[in-house]
Amino acid sequence: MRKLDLYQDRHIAKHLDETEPDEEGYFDMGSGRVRDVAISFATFAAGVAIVILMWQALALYGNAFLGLSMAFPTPADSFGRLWEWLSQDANLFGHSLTEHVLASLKRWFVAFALAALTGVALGSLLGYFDKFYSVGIVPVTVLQTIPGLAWIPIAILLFGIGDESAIFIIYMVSSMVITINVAGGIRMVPDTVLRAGGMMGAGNLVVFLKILIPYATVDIINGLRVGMGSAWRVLIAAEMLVGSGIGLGASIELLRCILDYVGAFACIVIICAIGLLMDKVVFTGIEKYARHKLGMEEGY
Amino acid sequence: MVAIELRDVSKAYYSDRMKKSARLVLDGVNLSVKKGEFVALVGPSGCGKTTILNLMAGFEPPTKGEVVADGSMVVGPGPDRGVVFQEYSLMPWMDVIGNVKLALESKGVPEKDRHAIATEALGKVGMLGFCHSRPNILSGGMKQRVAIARLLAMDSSVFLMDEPFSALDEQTRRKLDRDLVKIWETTGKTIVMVTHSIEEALMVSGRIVMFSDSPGKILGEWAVPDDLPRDLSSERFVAMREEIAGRLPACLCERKGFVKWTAEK
Repeated sequence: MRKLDLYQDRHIAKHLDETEPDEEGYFDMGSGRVRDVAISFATFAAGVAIVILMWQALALYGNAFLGLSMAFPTPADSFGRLWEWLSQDANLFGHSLTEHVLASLKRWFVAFALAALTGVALGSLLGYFDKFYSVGIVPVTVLQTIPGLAWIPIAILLFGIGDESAIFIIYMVSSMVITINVAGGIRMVPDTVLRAGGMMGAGNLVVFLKILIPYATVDIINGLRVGMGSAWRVLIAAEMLVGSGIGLGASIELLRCILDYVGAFACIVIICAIGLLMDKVVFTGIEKYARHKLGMEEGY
Repeated sequence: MVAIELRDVSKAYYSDRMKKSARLVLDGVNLSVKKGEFVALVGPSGCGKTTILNLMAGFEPPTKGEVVADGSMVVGPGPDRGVVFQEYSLMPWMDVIGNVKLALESKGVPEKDRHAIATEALGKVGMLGFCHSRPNILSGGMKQRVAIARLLAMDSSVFLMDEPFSALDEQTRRKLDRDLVKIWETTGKTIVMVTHSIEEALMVSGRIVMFSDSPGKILGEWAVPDDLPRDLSSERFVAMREEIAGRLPACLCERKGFVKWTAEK
């Protein structure tokens, strides 16, 4: 259930007892935001703890009752391995861990940057021009329904094994997701706002740049966020098949081949940590900032 | 001199999703507004008052007939016909003066002149003190003041106002009505205001046009005498209000729907 912020009043009431408001009604709240930061840190940690507990439960259950041919890696095993790797920047299949991570990040970044550029541009055009939308949304939807891994034969046909193939696959998935979200965001801008623009005599360019884009900013950011998430997921899958031996996905695949499940899980932990960091830290921050900047928060 | 005119205008919309039927909302309306006139459009809800304003603004074309502003056919919206919307239409990411400047930029006013013009317009509506506030901290009345300042800055010759103060509390509405009349008197703008309140129409306008319920036709017109005391308690005011209210057709829902519903019972 979504409720209003009830803690706000308890927090404020405590300070109101201690200080006297000035003539305009303002009063000091002391450290203020520290509490916010502490709460969001605690809730974040609790969320991570739930994941680890579920993992632990599954591992215990698997090892006790399923009669697996090999032990199911527990969080302790995997974090232990991760720590071991990190402390000496371990060499995995001819490349150091840092090199694997950087290779993945590089593919991700290049593909995502391309996808963001074309996705925002194409999505904006689709969102702005109604007639273009009714035609253009068809191919976009067709491309979007193709699962990432289904692009692999095409990628290998066009680019062979290596960076280009992985980037191509990520790009195809991520750019379509971004396009659809951006177009949707622009189409959601209320008529009144567009009419206000028309009434002021704004030309297409002013309407687009000064009204539509700012209005749709939060949707655009969310489109990029979803696009970035799907890019990261498909990146790992693509690397398992066309990664040419370097990258986190390739490492998982190779570790699986040599039956080092603990190592594979340690790689998955790295993947999750990077994904979570991007979403929760980078994008949540950007979105909050944008919401404030756009005047979408009440009051302050 | 005619400022804006509807010539035999009809407007119909599709009335079902399959587009198998359409419904007339305006039926052959002729309405001419002179330069400098303040006209109030009243009528039961759903009678097409807002549609008339949208046609005048150029947001929608008429199904039949034509709309003429300042001697030429209206083919789209433009800064010569400024609109104050019923919903708030300020850009939430811009401060008050930024919103007014956006209107000037849209209209094509050179950048160096924008600040002075925007400041003057905000002064006229008493919002100079809130130049750098953003709309989300303003009250409803203040937002509509800024919307009016936007039209003053653009120097629109016609102000089209769609129930601009209907979401405001009684006191604020009266204050804004009085201020609007002052602006009208000092600037000589042509104003067309849609309102559902006969009282408000009498307080502000020089002519009241009443529409029938849907499909909208003009039912009657009243010139508001210049010397009418604009005072809710004066006898002449009350008499005129009663006279006009007596002609107001009952709302659609009461007349048709409710009668039908009770009959079925």
